[in-house]
Amino acid sequence: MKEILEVRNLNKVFAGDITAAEDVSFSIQEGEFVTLLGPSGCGKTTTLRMISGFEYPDSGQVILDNRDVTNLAPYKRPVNMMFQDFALWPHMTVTRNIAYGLTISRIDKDTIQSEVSKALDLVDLKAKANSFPQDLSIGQKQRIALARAIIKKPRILLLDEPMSALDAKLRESMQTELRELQKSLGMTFIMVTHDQTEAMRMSDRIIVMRDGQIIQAGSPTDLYESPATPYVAEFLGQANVIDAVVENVGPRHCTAIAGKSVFTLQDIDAIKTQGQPIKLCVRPEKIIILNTDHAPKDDENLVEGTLINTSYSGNSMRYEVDIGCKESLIIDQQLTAAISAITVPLDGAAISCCIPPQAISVFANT
Amino acid sequence: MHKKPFDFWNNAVALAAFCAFVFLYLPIVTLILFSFNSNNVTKLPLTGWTLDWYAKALTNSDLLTALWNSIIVAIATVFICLVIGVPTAFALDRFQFPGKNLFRRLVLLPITLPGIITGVSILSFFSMVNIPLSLWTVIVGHGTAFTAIVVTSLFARLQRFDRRLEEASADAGAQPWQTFLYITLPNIRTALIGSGLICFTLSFDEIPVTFFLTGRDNTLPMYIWSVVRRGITPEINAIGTIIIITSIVIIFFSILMINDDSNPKK
Repeated sequence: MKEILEVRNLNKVFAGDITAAEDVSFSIQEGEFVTLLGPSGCGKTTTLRMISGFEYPDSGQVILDNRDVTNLAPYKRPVNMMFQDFALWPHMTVTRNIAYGLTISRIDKDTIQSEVSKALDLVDLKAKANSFPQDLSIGQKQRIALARAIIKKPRILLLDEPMSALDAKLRESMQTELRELQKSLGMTFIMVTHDQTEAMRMSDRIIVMRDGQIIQAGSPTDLYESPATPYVAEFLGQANVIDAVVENVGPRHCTAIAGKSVFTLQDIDAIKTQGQPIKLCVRPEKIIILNTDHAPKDDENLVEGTLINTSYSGNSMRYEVDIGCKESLIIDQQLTAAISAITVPLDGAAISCCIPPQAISVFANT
Repeated sequence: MHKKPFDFWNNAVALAAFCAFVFLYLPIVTLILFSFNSNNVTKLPLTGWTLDWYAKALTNSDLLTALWNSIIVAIATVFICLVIGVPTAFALDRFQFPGKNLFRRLVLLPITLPGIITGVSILSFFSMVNIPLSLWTVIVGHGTAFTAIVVTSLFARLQRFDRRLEEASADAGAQPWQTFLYITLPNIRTALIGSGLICFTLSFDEIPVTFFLTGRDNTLPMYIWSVVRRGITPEINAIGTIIIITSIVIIFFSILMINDDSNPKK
């Protein structure tokens, strides 16, 4: 693996003291699919625009293939962008839209023609070669935008919220398609999105941003299994965040109290002293509901509470359990042949469940 | 079958539309009709068809000179309005500079000022700096009066223009001038043609500013006005008819171009 892009300490403040990027640093390997993930206004789009050259950082560097391109104009950078609403030129046909980048570079007509025809094949839209963008469906527009963005074989393809205009069904199939295309081309992709499912599904690596800063970077599993902060835990998928107080500090295990329950903890890096307020994060699907078949083992944390709500979504059941804490506990149970929706407990029933210590992430209160 | 209740209103609206149409076009029809009437007084009843007035108009050298002057002035005015107006509209749309809002409003002022004020003020400026009056001073006056039309219509178009189309072009490797030529210009073309045509027609029939700023040379409206003071002649009706037909042709072509712009062939 070879490093293709390095972003060093980017800072950008817009008029009106809006901090878009604060000390943003990361590097990307050739062939990687990296996603910048965060809510709107977190600085992910600004970061992408600094890589493409549409914004210049106040300080910091963008290094592309060992070359400092920080202040290079967009038209001199070997990267291409797929724009959020596609930005297809309405006065040009599909063919001319795709060919534009090559036409501008004065490449000979035969090469252009064969490249365009290859690109049209790739996105499966040969039939629309002579249509105008306004006569295409959203999905077709997106494919054309994609073809236009890769025709010059950019070192990196930048994708700015590429799925935001698509409906849910089309989005899912486009995600798979785009990921497969990226793999088969071996091209480096950097995508910006606010959709965590999309990020998880497509990326090799996710960089989570908030308020212009990088909170955590890692593979989807890293981020999901060991989130760096409760924010990351809640942003990527569902998470229970429970306020607790440290009761006992040991060398390998600690205990903490939340509501009526005592928790044994293994993830103890954040724990300093007895009486320290902490936050416990648990994924809803990692909590086991106890029944006659499953008795708690000694080291599993037993939690008891009252069922206050259930919601059924076909293949799974979500329970909301009051365990005497500020927030109720969310539990997801996969429905199988053995556990069907008909036999679930009713609201108001007493529920016992256990939370394995390795499923709990512990964070110091900030 | 009984009539639906809104039939009456449908008919009433149709009648009102017809009346409005007559109100707008009866004078023009009258002009065209009398340009073919053999009687040399503009008076009913019609006495017979003739093309004499056209022949007379087209051999009247004063009239032809005036027509030619008007065409030169109008073309030069369009040129000045575009050369000054286009960069101004871009500056207003794309750059921040101190006093921008004030400037945007002041640019509009010349349209709202009565022509007579514009005429007098430019006249006093020219006499202050000792520039003799000629067609050139008329052109400068028209340019001053009509540049704002180009600025406003182009500014409105630029405000609606999606700047990301330009970014996409830069992203594809186009230099700024290529982006302007291949992306920006095709998308603002209709605004340029439209406002240019308006400037042309306004300049072509302008009297108040011209009145103060012209020297020996007459423009067509000035000539017509001076002739008509001695009574309307069918010759004037003939030249009026020619102008109307030319305008219709120009409008027809400008509409063709606008349509062409929304669905270009190449």
